[in-house]
Amino acid sequence: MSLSILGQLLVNGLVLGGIYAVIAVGLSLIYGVVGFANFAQGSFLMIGMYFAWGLTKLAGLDPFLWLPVIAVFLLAVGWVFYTCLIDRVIGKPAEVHLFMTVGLMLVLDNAFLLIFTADRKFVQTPYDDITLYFGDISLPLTRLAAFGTAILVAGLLMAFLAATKLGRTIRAVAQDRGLAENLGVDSRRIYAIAVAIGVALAGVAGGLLTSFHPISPEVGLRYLLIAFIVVVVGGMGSIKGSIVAALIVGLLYSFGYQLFGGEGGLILAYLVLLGILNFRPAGLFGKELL
Amino acid sequence: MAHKTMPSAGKGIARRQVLKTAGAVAAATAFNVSLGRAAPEPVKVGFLYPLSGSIAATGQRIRDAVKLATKHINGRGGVKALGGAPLEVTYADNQSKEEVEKVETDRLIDQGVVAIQGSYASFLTMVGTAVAERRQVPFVTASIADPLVERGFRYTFQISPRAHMFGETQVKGVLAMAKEVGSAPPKRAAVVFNNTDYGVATAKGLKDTVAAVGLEEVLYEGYPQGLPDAAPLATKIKSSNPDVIFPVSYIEEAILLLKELERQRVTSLIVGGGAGYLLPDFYEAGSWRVATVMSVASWNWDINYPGVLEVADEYEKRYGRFIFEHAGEAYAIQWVIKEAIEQAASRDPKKIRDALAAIKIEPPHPGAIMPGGAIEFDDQGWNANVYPVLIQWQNGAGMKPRTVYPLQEARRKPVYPVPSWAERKT
Repeated sequence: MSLSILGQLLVNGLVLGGIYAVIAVGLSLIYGVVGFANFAQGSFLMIGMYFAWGLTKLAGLDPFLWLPVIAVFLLAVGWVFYTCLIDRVIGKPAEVHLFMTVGLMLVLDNAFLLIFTADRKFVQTPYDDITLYFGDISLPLTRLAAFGTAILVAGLLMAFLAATKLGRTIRAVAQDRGLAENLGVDSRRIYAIAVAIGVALAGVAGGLLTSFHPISPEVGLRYLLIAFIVVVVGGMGSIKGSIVAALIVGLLYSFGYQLFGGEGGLILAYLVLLGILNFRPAGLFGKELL
Repeated sequence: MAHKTMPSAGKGIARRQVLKTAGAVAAATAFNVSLGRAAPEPVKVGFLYPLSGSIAATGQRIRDAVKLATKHINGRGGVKALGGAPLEVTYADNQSKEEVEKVETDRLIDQGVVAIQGSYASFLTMVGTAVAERRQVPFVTASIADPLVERGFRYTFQISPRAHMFGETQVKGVLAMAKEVGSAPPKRAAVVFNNTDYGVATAKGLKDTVAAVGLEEVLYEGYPQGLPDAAPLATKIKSSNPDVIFPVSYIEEAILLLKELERQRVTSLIVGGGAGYLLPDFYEAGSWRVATVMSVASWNWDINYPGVLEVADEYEKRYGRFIFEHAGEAYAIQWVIKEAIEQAASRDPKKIRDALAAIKIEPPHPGAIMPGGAIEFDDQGWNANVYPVLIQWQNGAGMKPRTVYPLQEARRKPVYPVPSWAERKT
């Protein structure tokens, strides 16, 4: 394998990993704070993609410029999702959350299938044609921009959790809900905020994807599975773990694809997942949110 | 009569009424003069394609072609053996679903169609032809699946090349084409395919042909259905360094892969297996990158037979896009059905079936536009004269697929060896 091919695999893997990171971080945040696995997370990503597509189509602006609008919209969606559904089952067994979120995923995916059909949609950006080259290694501008924004968003989230009062309160609830409540924290409000942010992150990831990824109702499920691998490898509920694991899974996918082909990329990622679960059941970074 | 109603009615309506009535009177008079009797009943022909669902756009373009063919047929006097009876198309939508195909075939026959054409996707046509066989109504198709004419059916007629022929033309055609233009033929071949039943079966055929003609297979790679990210696949193709790439893919995957091959500067000749590689959408999404991409095809809009360019031109002016492969075949089918009714001189589907079995139409007949020239059906109901052609996307009066092989069907020379991406862009 030549050096330029090696470099290309590295670039492919890291860029993919950056996207995985934003998707997984939202999932991880919700799990870490509220303690349930949100199977509808992929559907929220899909909604973000269609929203970006619709805005770009109707108002003609660039999908990247729409990201704040998408984030706010999905924040609202996340809030409704929490207050109408999740809030009613807080403290119930995990199966209840599982059925509820899988059910929501099916409803959302099929509703979009009904409205938008299975036809894939594309967002065409004026800089779609621009590719940067390092020797023979190519890096499309859209992917670089998506990767950069993804890392920026993940960094902002970490800074928010580390440095703001609300962020610290969220971490307090994640660590010990009972203690936080005794100190006067309204944990349900914090849950709502965490879920809303988590859902908004899925929407932002969707917005990032639209610049180079076809949009279709089943897209969410594809990324949901990968996001789960990432979250488990990184440590259920660890933001930092999710980011690191996302990059690792991205690289594994890229090299696995080259070496074993087809589904080989994912098989390699699954194998690593099994290995990590065996030796570190809590994932690479454990359960700490940050 | 019209004069009587005029004063009592409102002005605008009255005038329209007058014109309508006057038109009807004029038409009736004309028929009375020319035929000496009332206008003959139209002959109903069934149209059964996907008009909704995931491949609806394709079905609608086929409908446009059938409309155009019907207009041409009726414009040239309809079915003369039935006193100039015009063809009337009864449109049905199979919604890209087998169970709907079944129901709609029955419904069309209940409505009195004398023959049916359909249904683009082979898995749908398999169902429709089975119903038509039971009801003894001829079903003419350009679907390519091999089993269509292998079931001993008497009412199924296939005017297109059969599935197993495409892979062979894809590989052997490229070698022959390189020889014709006097360039070194490709040596290293990469086969990449969608990991579905269709993709795997087609790729297997390609693999065998690649081996049979002595090409070196440097990559044989399936990818998951949907292909979210073509970058890893393009990198893998690049690292195998092929002279020619044979991709088996649906259109979106084809576009994603093409863009990624361009980004990673993979300059190999691309020879697609039909379908997406022939649609106007391929250029609309892939833009200039489609230049020099080749594909096998059952038919192409510039195929070298009399009258084809005029039809293609009228279709494009009327409907905004060039007439793509399957739409062109549907145009031909409508003429074949018309000719069979003509020769049967009857509206009886059984007699029309017998006429189809015995039919032979040759260029310059407006329907004899399939590769191979004359259309006639063998004992199985297959048009055995036909074979696939190779097209190449070329610019010049619009970026379109041009027939480049075999020579007798081609109007353009192939561009081979293919230039770099930078040159393709200009």
